[in-house]
Amino acid sequence: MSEEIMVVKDLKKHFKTAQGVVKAVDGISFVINKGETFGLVGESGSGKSTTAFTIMGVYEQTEGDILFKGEPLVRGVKRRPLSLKKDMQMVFQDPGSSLNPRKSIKQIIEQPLKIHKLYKEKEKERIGELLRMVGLPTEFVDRYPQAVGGGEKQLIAMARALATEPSFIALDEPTSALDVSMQATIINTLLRIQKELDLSYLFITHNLSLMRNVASRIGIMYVGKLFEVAPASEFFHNPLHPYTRMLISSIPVITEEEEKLKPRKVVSRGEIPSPVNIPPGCTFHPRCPECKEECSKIEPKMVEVEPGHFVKCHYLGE
Amino acid sequence: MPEQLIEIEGLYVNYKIYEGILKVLNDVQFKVGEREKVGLIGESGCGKTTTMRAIMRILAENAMVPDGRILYKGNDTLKMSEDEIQRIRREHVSMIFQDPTAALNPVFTVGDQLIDVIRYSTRREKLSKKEMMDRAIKALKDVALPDPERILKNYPVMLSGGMRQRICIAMALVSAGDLLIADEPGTNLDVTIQDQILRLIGRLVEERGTSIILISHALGAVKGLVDKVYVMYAGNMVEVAPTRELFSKPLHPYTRNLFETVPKLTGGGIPQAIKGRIPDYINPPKGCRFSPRCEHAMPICMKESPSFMDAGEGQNVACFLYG
Repeated sequence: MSEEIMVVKDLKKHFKTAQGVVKAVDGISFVINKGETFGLVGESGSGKSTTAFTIMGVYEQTEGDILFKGEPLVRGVKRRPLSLKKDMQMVFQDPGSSLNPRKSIKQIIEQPLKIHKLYKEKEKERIGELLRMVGLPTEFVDRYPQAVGGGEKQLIAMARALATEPSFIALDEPTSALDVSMQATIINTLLRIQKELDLSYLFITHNLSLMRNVASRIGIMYVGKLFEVAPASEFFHNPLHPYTRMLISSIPVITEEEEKLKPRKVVSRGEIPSPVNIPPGCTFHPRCPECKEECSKIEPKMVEVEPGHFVKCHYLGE
Repeated sequence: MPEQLIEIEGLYVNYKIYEGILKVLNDVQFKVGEREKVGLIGESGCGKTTTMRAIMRILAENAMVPDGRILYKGNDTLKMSEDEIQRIRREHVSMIFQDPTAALNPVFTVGDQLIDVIRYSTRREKLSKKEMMDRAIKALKDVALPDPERILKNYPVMLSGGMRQRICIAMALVSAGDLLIADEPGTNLDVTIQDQILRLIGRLVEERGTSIILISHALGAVKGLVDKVYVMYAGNMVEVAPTRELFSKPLHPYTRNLFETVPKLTGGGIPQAIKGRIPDYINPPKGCRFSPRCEHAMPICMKESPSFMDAGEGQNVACFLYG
C-alpha cells in the first residue's frame, strides 16, 4: 500500500462577495500518495486553483481538514511553521508575474535558501546544481527574468520551488501559457525530477490530453465539487460521469488512435453556472444529457464504483 | 479547382525596433480559394497573426513590407487606396480576434457595437433602424445566444467569455461577405465552450459559403474544421497539405516534431521537444530558418532557403530532404 502524503477531507472554501457567497470549493475529499501525481482537471471557474491555494495556505479554508504527512495543517500560511513551508512548494501559472523582474535569477533562487537558512556556505554551488537539475545553463545566474524565454522562466520557477528540497509541489497550470514544444520540455523535466527526488505533485490543468500523460490519478472538478476520481488510464478508458464524458469527447485530437479512444460524442451545451447561483440538486443537471427529474432535487453522493474509481452521479452508483 | 480569393506571393514583413530590424515574414506563399476552409498552425511568434494583419492591412505602425504581393480577387491590396481597402474591410473580409474581451469596447452596449457594424457594412442598402435591429437580433440568434433582445442592451462585462466570443463571431459574420479570419477563436475558452464555438463557426461558414482562415495552435481544433492546412515556422511557410494528408503523413521535420510533442489522449508520455527555440528575427539563420534545430540538416540547408516542392496529392513542403 502506498503511503499517503496528503489527505484532504471535505474541504470548503467560500468567499463573501457583494453578490453573495461564492462557494469556490464546496466539500471535496481526495488523497495524494507519496511519489504520485494527482491531477485536478475542470473548466475555468471550477475551483481547481482555489483548492491548490487553500492547501498551500494562501487562503484559509472555511471548513474541512488537510492532513499533510498525517498532521493536520493549520489554517492560513502565516501560522504555519517554517519547516512545513519548506516541505511544500508551489509553481504558478504565469512565470512572467511570479518572478520578480527586478531581481536576477541568482537572487530569485537564493531567497528561499536564505529564508530557510540552507546551504549557507555552499549557496553558489547549490544554485548551480538547481539550474542544472532543471536543465538550464549555469550562466543564467546573472540574467534577469525578462532576458529569458517564457519556458525558461517556468524552469526557473521550478528551480526556486526545488531549492528547499520539498516533498510536495503544487503545480498550477505550469504550461498553459507555453507552446507545445516548450511544454514537452517542462513536463519531461518535471517527471524526471519527480523520479529522482521521489516528489509528490498536485498537478492542475484544463488540458486533458496533457493530464493523460502526466497524472497517475485524476479528479475532475465542476463548480467547487469533485465529480469523478479515478486512476488515469481508467479515467480515460472508462469515464463514467456524463460530465467527464462530455469533456473528453470535446477534446480536439490529431490521431486516429485518439479518436477511437474518445467516448461517443456528447454534444456539449450550456456553460458553467455562476458560483453565486449554483443550481440545486446535482450542479451539473442543467447541462447533463442524461438528466432525470431526481437530479434537479437531490444532490448525489460520491460512490466508489470500482476500487479507486469514485463517481458522484445518481445513475451510476447503484 | 476553386477560384482563388486571396493569393499571397513572396511576402516579406519587417518590423523596425530599437535594436534593429526584425525580419519576420520571409517569402510567404499563401492561398485561399473561394469557399475554402484553410488552417494556419505554428508556435507563438512564428508570424501567423502578422500574415493575417498584412491581409487586412492593419499591421503595426513600425511594420514595413519590403516586397511581395497580396492579391484579393486579383487586386493587390498593398497598392489599394485607403478607400478601397476600407471597403474590403467593411464588406468583404472580417476578423475574429483572439481575445474577445479586448475586441469589444467596454463602454458601449453590445447593441451599439453590433449595429455600428451593420450600419457601415450595409451602407449601400440604406436600411432603416428597425431593419438594422432585426438583423442584429438575427445575427445573435445565428450564434445561438439566448434572449438576443436583452443581450443587445448589455455591456460586454455583463457577459461570459463564451458569450462575448459569440458576439465577436456574430459581428464578424454580418460583414464577412467573402472571408472570415478567425485568429485563435477558442484558445482562452474552456474545451467544451471551444468545441461549441468551433462547431458554430464551421456550420455558419458552410451555410453562407464564406471562406475561412482558422489560426490556432490547438492542432486538433484545426483538424476538425478545415480542408487545407499551412504550417508556419519562424516567418516561413514550411508545409501545406490537405488536412487528411498533413495529419497522416507530415513531411517537414518541423511539422513532424510539432505533431509528436502534442500530448496524446492515448498516453505514453511526451517525446523530447526539438532543442533550441524560434530564431532571433534580427539575425535570422542563413538558408532554411529551421536548419539550426533540424536533425536532418545538410550543408545546403545552411546556404539556401528551400521553396515549396511538390510532394504529390496537393502536399507541398519547403525542405531539401524532398527536393
